[in-house]
Amino acid sequence: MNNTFEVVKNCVEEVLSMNGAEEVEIRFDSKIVHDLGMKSLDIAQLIALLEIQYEKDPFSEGATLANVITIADLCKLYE
Amino acid sequence: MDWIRERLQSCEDEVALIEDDRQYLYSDFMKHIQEWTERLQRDNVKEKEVVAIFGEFCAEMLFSMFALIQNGNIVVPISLEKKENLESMLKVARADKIYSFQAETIAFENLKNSQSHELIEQLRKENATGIMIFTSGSTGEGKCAIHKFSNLIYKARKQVKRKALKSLVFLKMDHIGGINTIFSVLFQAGTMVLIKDRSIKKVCSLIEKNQVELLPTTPSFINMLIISGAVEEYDLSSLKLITYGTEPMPTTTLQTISQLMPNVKIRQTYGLTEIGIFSTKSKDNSSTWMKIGGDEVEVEVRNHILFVRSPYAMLGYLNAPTPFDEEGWYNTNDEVEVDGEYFHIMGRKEEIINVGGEKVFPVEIEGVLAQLPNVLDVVVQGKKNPVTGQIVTALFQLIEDEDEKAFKKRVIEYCKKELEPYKIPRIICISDKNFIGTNLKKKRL
Repeated sequence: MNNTFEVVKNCVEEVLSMNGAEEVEIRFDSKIVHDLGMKSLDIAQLIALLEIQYEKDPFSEGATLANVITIADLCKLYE
Repeated sequence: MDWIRERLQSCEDEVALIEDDRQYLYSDFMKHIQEWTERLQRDNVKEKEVVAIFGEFCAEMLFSMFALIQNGNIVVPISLEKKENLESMLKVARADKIYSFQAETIAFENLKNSQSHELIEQLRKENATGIMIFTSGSTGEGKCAIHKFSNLIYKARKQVKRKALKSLVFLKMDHIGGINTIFSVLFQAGTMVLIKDRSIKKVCSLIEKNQVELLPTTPSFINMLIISGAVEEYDLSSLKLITYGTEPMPTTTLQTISQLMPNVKIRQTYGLTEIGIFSTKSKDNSSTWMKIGGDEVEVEVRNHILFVRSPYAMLGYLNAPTPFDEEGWYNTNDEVEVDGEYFHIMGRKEEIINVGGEKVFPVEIEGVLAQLPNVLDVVVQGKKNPVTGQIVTALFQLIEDEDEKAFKKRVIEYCKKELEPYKIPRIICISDKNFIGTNLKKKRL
């Protein structure tokens, strides 16, 4: 889990820094939209980066966005 | 086909063709066609047979094509790059015979074909010659379009009033644009300069050496011409006209080339393998807006997509259902903007990226990204995404190595100033591979 969290965290940081967002603490229980302030395009980018990182697209395998609220939810999809 | 002979005869002292250091007058050209006619007889190539000519585009291949047309054959030009698919292409074309032109040798083979197709039979019944052209499909042999020769050259046949410009035959003989150049030049007493190596260096040195006046090319090549700095390096002052087609032109590329070569007229052409090359008229030198049609060619826009109806279109495909509707309209799949009589080609419908309902045209983004320093070329595509449907990705080829992280940062900073957020590439990669395919168009993977 720790490893997955680190990878997801790095990807979130990459997206946020690329898009000029203010620095924010990324925790396991951080809410992607409410706490991290990510917009739809940011989340789209994050998922694309994770797909490249893991060579896996959980959303084409049945995962739904409605169940992805926190970083922890996201980590679960790639573990 | 007597009129072809008459047309060529009427300018026998003019230079028809330049290949390497060799010049052929129209009288030489006719002699070579006659030699080929005799060869066809020796090889027992009968009228109405389907004959493939395969290899590197060269003068001999051109002579053979004219002889085959005069002999009443259906010709299938196939360039060397299609070698991998040659066997399946010959099968689709129901080719009876093949001439292969490779390394100065010409090989003949009787393919012992016993198959035909209703469209081939249609031509045979009409005693008409034909040309087959394969579309550049992303995989396999592509679709095989069969044209009646007289339809394909209707425009070139009509044009006799003025001498054609000395033209570089940039597009190949198995491309609708290449075929168009060949007949437009030769039926108007012009001179063709053949080229095998289509690198910037070779193209520019041939223009300089032979005082070429017309360069028919692609937006991708024009982009490379700008980036390479060749416009300053070579004397290209003989050029009077550059025509471009086959893929959408980024506005920035067009503006830059117009500034770099202010004395050269830049004209957009429009055509497709299936419907031939149309008459066009650009709004001005640096405009991607043009009028399309004329010569009994009708155009119509339905739901932003350009539809065309032409009496000179192909008969159909040999390996796919007819793409024409019941009234003969052809869906070009090109999304267009319309301003009165003028059209602006936005891009192929299937290449348009849909980001959360917003349309993104790859060629527009590529035009913006190509302005970045150290960028040799860039391909923009969509990537499926569960959040926004698709996102924009950009694959760059750089002039010199650069730290990937620093480069990405530079791209994003630039894009934020130039593009709306949904148009900004969210995935940025660097590749050392060339993006321009053998058809001189950008490869979209």
